[in-house]
Amino acid sequence: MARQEVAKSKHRSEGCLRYEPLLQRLVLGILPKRKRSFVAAHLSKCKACREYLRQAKRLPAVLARIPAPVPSADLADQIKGACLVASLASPREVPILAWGRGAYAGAAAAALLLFTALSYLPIAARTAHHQLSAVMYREPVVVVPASWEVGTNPGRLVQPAGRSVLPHSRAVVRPGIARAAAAPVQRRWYTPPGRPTAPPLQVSGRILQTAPQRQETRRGDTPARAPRGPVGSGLAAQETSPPPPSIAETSVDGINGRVAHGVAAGVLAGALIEHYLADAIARRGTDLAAASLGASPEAADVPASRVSPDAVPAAM
Amino acid sequence: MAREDQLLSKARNLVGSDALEQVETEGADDVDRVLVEAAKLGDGEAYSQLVDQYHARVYGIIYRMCGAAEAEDITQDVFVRALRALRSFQFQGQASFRTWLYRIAVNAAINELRKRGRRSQVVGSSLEELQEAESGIAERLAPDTSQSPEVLLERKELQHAVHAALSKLTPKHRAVITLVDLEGLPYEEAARILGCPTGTVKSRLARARAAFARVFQRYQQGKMRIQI
Repeated sequence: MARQEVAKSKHRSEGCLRYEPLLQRLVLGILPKRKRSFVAAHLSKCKACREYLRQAKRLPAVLARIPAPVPSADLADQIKGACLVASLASPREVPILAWGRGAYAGAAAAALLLFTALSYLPIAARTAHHQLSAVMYREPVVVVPASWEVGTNPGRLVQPAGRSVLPHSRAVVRPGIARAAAAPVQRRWYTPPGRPTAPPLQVSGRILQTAPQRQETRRGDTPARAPRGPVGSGLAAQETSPPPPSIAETSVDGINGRVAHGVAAGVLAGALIEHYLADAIARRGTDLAAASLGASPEAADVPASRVSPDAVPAAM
Repeated sequence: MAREDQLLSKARNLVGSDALEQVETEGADDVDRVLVEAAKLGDGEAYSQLVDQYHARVYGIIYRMCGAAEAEDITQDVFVRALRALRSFQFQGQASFRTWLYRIAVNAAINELRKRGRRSQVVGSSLEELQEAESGIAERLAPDTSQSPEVLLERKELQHAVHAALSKLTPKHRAVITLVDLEGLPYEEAARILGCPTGTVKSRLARARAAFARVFQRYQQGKMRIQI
C-alpha cells in the first residue's frame, strides 16, 4: 500500500503546492513544531516533494552566486552631478556641497557691496525706453562643465551620455548663463525668499540677452529652444574672447546662498539707496536712467563690459 | 580591510584627526560616520566617497527589483534623496549609513513598482528561448567553476532568468529575496531595512522563495514568457 502511494506521488499534485511554503519554512528553520510531523509524514510519501525540499535547500547558496549587475562607468559621476545641483537648488534642505572650503569666503565682503548695488541699480532705470524683464533671477543659476548641454526643457542639463541630471532640482539653467567652467558646478547667485523681483524695466540702449528666454521659460508652454550642441562649443568662444556678461551674471558672481542670506542687512542699505535714487530720477528725468545702463557707458554706473554687445533683439 | 584603511585615511584627511579620534573606529561604519558628518557640513568630497562606495550596491538592489531600464535613474534619485535627508540622519544604536541608504533604495524601488501600477515586465530573452533541460532549479543554478564561453553564456542567461523570475514577484517578495539571498545581508539588517521584525522577514522570505521557485519552474518548462 505504501509502495503504491510512493509510486503515485512521483509527480507533484495540486495538493503538494500547499506544502511549498511549509517546506521553505522548514529550510529556514521556522516551521512550527506542530506542523513538522505533518510535513514529515507527507515527505515520507511524496518523492516529488522530497526533491523540492532538496532543491529548496540549495537555492539560497546558488542565488548568492548570481553576479551582481554592474552599473555603467559614469553612474557615480552622474549621481554626484545630480547631488551637486540638488544642493545648489535647495540650500535650506540640502547641505551645500563645496569643493574646496572657503572658496567663497574671500569674495564675501566684496560681493556684499556688489550685490546691493547691482540688485537695486536696475530699479533706478524704470523710465527708460526698452522693457527688460530678466534683470533679476529668482532661481539659482549654475555653471556647468563644458561637456554638458542645456536641454530644450528649461532647467534640465544633459550630460555627455545623454542623461538629464536635473529631475529634482528647482534650479533653472539657461543657455545664456550656463557656460564652460573648469571648476565643478558652483552656485552663482541666490535670491532670498520673499524678496520681490524687479518689475519690468525700461532702459535705453542695449537689452540684456537673457530677457526673452526668461519670459518663455516662465510660462512653461513655450520652452526656450536651447542650443543642442555642447555648451562648450558655443561657449568656448566666450572663453577665448569672452563677451561681457549680463548684469545678472555679474551681480551673482562669487555669491552663494549662505552669503546671500548674510547680505540681508545690506538689502536694507540698498532700500535707502533706492529711495534716494528715485528722488534723483524725479528731479533729473529719465535720462539719468538711460545713462546709467549703457546709453553712454562712459558716464554710466555700470561698466560697458557688463552689457551684452549683441543683445539688441530685433523685436525691440 | 585595505579599502577600509584607505577610506579611513581619506576621512582623516577630510575631517582632521582630532574629530576622528573621537570616533571609536572598528570598521566601515565608523568611516561612514566620519564621512556622513563631513557631508552634513557641506563637504562634497566626503559625500562623493559615500557615492563611490555604495552606488554599485544600491544599483544592484534597484536593478534586481525594478529592472535595468530605470535602475540608473532610480539610483541617482536615491542618492539625491539621501542627500536631502542627510541632515536628519543620526547614528543611533545599530543604525548604520548603509542600512539607512538601503532602506531609501528599497522604498524607492517599491514606490516605483507601485507607481507602475503593475508588476514590471522585464524585457528580453524568454525562458522558452533558454531551452533548458528538464533538470531542477538546483541543477540549473548549480555553481560551476568552469570559465568556458558556454558556461559564461549560460551564467549570463541564468542571471537574466533569475531577474526575470524576480520580476514576477510582488514588490515585498522581490525586496526580501534581493536583500537576503542575492545581496547576502543578514536577517537582522534586512529587517531594519524593511522595517519589520526578523521573524516577519523569515516568513516573508519563505513565501517569496516558494513563489520564486514556482515562477522559475514555469519558466523552465516554457509555460511563461518573460521578456528581459
